[in-house]
Amino acid sequence: MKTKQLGNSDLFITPVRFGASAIGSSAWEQSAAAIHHALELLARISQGAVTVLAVILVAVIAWFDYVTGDFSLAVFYLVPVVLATWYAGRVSGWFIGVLSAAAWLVGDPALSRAYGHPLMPYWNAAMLALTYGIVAYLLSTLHRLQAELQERVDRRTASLAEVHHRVKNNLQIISSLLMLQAEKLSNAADKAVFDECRDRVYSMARLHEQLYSSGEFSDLDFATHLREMAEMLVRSHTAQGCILAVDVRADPVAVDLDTGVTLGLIANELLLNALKHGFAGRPAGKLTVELHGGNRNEMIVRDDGRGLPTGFDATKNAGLGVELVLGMTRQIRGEARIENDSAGGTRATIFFPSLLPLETVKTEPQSKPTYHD
Amino acid sequence: MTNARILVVEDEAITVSALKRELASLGYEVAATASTADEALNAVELHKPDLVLMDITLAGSLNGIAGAVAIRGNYHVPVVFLTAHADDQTMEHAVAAGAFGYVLKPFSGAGLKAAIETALHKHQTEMENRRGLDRGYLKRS
Repeated sequence: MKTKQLGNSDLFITPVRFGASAIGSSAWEQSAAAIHHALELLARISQGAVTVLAVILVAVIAWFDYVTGDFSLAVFYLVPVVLATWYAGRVSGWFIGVLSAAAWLVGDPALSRAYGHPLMPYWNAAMLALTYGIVAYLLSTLHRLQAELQERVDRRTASLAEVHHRVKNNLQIISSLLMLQAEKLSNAADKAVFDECRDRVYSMARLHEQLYSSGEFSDLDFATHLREMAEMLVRSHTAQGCILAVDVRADPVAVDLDTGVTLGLIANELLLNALKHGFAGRPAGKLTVELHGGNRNEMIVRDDGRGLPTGFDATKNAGLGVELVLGMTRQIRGEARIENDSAGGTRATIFFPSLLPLETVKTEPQSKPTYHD
Repeated sequence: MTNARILVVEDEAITVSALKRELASLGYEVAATASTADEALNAVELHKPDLVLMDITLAGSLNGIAGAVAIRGNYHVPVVFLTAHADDQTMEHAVAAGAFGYVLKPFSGAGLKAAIETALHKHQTEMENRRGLDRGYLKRS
């Protein structure tokens, strides 16, 4: 879920969503939006104009106070006090506080009646002024703290963005070095190893890109990454002369950065494996990639190729790619199944836990991978 | 458009080396390399490349975006940005600078080729349109 960063002038009032069943929820939303819009307008006008508006508001409340007689409206003077303090500063808040107390004194019809002591109404007005002054002081302090906090958050966000930028630049350097080193090799198979390494670096970089672009810096939708990666690998690794049909069906699945990087590398290995071994020497083929969410997420990479060799044992005679897949799946507390598909070809399924609070994830038992020939 | 002459503006030496090889393998000629926007302006003047591949974050008085504005304004050479930045603000600035495309780091050969070819084609179309407009203007006058 994307969250809106509060600006310094957002006060406490933001549009609040109530359940759809709440009575007049749309009216509520409209009112909240109108208030929000009004507050945004207030934030844009000058401090002097806000103070003038607060003075007018005090006059209106004083008039109501006068016409309603004995009913106390003292609490309503807090509205102009709060607005003046938040949008025009502490001094303006104090001024409106004193003005409100004076207006209350003038507007209170009890003034014309006999008090137990002639100074009592003035004492009461002074107490009101003090109360408004304290409110203005506390609110202006809160406003200052909020502004400081916002500034810190902005600085951290900028630093984090810079870190992501540095990470991507460094990944570019690694990718460049791999390319330059690969040039020195004459054997095509050796070069292919370096190309695979570059693909892995590329996968990690794209994930950082997605995280950085989303502005969330913590969670991301793995479906977007999976689609992009499948497209990129198919474009660059499809066997020559093979017409490949690619079907990617990916539901949105939220993952954190660590899981995303590991899962991205797993997907990279599975896709490369399918592209390298599933379609070699064939005129056409089909590659299916699926991602499904739920209590336990599921990623499937399936080809319609020759399938696994007889007696295949992922734990014994598999290559580096499968070894990495098994290790990384354990790392994300998942389960890997690499098996022959009933419709022909190879099917690799990675089950992995849904994004949960860290404490919950830590207490989950580790599941061991299972392999099926 | 293979054999296009490209000016590479990038301050990371290793990335420059990789780019030179990747561009050569894609059939392009690297006209020159520069590590700052100021150097890039001189190189454009001197080598008259068909396209400039420019990093956004560069040392010196001008960053890549300011450099691109100057190159486009003075020499009408299309600029493709090569960048690790892909945030909305940077992209807005890149578009405002008249970028013909961008390639995200780390780059892939396919991504690089697609961006360069699109930019060259777009630039060619733009120049033809401009020439057509000029001819129309001359006929009327």
